[in-house]
Amino acid sequence: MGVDQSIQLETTLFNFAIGLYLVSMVLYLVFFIGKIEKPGEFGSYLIKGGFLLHTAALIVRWFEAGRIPLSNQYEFATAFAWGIVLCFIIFELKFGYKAMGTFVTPIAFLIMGYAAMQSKDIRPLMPALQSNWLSLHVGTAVIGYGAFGVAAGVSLMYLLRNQFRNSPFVRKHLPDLITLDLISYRAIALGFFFLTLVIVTGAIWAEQAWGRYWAWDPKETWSLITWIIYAVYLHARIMRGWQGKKAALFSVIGFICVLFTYIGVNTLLPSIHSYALLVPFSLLFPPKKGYNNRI
Amino acid sequence: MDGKKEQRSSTFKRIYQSIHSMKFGMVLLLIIGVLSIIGTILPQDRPLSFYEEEYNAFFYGVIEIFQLNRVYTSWWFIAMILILSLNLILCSIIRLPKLLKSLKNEPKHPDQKNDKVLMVFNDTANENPKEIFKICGFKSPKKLSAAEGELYYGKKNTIGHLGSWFTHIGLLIIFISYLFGQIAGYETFFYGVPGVQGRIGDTPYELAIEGFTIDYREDHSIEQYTSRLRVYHHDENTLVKEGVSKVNDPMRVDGFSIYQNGTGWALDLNLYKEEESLRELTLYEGEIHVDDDQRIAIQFYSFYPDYIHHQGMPATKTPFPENPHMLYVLFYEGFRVDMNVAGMGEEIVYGEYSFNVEAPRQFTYLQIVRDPGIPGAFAGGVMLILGVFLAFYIHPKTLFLRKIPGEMHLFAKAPRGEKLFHNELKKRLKEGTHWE
Ligand code: HEM
Repeated sequence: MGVDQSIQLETTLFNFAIGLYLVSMVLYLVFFIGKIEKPGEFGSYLIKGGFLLHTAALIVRWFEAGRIPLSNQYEFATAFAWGIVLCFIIFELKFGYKAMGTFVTPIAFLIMGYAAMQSKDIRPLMPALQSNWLSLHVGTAVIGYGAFGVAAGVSLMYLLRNQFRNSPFVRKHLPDLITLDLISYRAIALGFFFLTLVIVTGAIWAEQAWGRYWAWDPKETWSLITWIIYAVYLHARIMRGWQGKKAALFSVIGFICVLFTYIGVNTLLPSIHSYALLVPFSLLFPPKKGYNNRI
Repeated sequence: MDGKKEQRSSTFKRIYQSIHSMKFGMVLLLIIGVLSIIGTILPQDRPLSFYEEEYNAFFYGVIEIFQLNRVYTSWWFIAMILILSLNLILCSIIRLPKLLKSLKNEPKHPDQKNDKVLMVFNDTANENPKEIFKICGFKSPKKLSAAEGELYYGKKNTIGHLGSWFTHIGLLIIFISYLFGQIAGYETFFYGVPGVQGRIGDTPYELAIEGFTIDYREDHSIEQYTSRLRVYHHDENTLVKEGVSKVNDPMRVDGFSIYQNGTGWALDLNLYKEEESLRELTLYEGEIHVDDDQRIAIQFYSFYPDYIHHQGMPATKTPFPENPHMLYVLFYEGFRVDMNVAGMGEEIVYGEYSFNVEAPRQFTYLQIVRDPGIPGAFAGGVMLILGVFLAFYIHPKTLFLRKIPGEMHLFAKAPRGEKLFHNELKKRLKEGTHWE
């Protein structure tokens, strides 16, 4: 298969996946608002179908690139959405609450949409990016961020349920607060474990590639801030007076930090994660002192 | 008098208590997080004059006082990390005895009022506690020294109690190793074309660059940079190690590492004054060579290996030296007098001076780091991961069975997710027994 053909195949699979995610999002919404069971069931099937196509798209790209496809904005965005859907499917199977789909599928769909807007070009990797530690670093980020995405959806449900606790509609369709708290805790525990792996593997890679394991580069710092927010969430759950609503708020803020770490830092802040290894050399050799002043 | 003393000691007690409290730790952690954002927005590690030019007087004052030009090494940031460490140390020490007790000792009795009975077995004639524990996935029960009736218990995954403790200690080890590395480590740079040899900073080592290659792919993108190096002991004049340094694969020697960090072009410069040779040396891209009592200076501004003139600008067709040209800037008595591109061997004349360049080749730029904190930070990282895993995935569980005449009551406790544990037990009991 030629390069063009396989990119075309990947694009087709990707487009079908995004289409199925969209339909399942609508079905979950109909289920929730219309209080009808059937669309929820269909939504649950369709998202699994979309997930399979999405997985196939990633595999095609993996083969085409000859490396794990986790190296640019497009590749990470599509993998990020994949991670959210994977975690959602696991949590839906485990806890069995269809209403979660109403809150989680929009998050996955939006990130998928962001991926669709990025360039799909396959570029060879610059030397600093050719590292197994880096693959592990980004691979664990996919799962970790995916779990945080699910947690954010569930925490929104928590806040909603808490806000409209007397509304019969909300009471009927959202699990009780204790269950929601348990689900988001489990999702954050998964995400936190993986984020810890992300930071540690990233530090190992940074030591090998850049000569230091931690240098307060903006992306590093933002991942640390994210980690701190979730650490506070975990402690808030066991602290007097901070449980419930406050903890749920931290979960939502944490996910905003995740998104900022991933998108905002690259676009708004200067960072080594723009992967410029070779600095312009005039920066490394500033004109000699003394002489400079005379010019 | 006494009252005052008491008051003071209670104030101390209050301060001490809040210093090791979790709430204080969390507030500190949040403050550290929020304030570290400053360092991601404000450019860091520039000279103070940069901030003076960029920002107004008030903001510049704030930057100067709070060292916002170097947030992560400022006094207040380090102080906060130290206070957080103290908080963690105290709370880890205080919690340890209780933790160890919970590992070793018998669990607390389930209390009749608060702990809900999970299941009641009415027909106790043929049931034995061992069987029930086995079905629930527990080893043989032990008998609790209970006050009333017979009480059996079994514990599982107790090691999970240590999860958060390991997490906190791992974190502390990382903090300490990081600070140690910052204080005891060093970093220096070394660059040169093959053939260059020199001292590494003020270490007892000498570095010789034996070779430097760049591997290109078909599309001219770069696959890898490789420096072949030798490290000598300066005083003893012995070879310590011979090896290569590549991107992502540094050369490790005697506790320090040599990283392939960059590259650029170098040329041989021949400078003449009144037709007499004044200087011969290697000039590196970006450097200025100042000579003849600061009267003349040549800046190697940039290099075009495969030079073409493109839309009025110098450019390069390929990364290979097919048609090498340099862009130079010439200064005379401190004034810029000429700026142009020159080919190899081409004579450039200014007044009594003239120069040419030749023999273009690429040099390697190496970063040399010694960080004695790395092993500790790594160990701390492993401990952190292990701790988080234990905390979240090894859930301590306790099962109790109380035998009273004609009945057995089953209790199940799991502080981290009792509901899921109860569901699991109900399922196991339903599948594994004939009891209802
Ligand atoms: C970035 C810093 C920190 C991280 C990553 C961290 C991590 C953790 C984790 C993962 C847990 C287990 C939570 C759970 O099971 O839900 C935990 C529990 C705990 N942490 Fe921290 N922690 C941090 C800072 C602190 C600080 C500053 C204190 C202050 C004393 C503290 C005190 C505690 C306590 C008392 C527990 C409860 C232990 C238990 O219930 O077993 N932690 N921590």
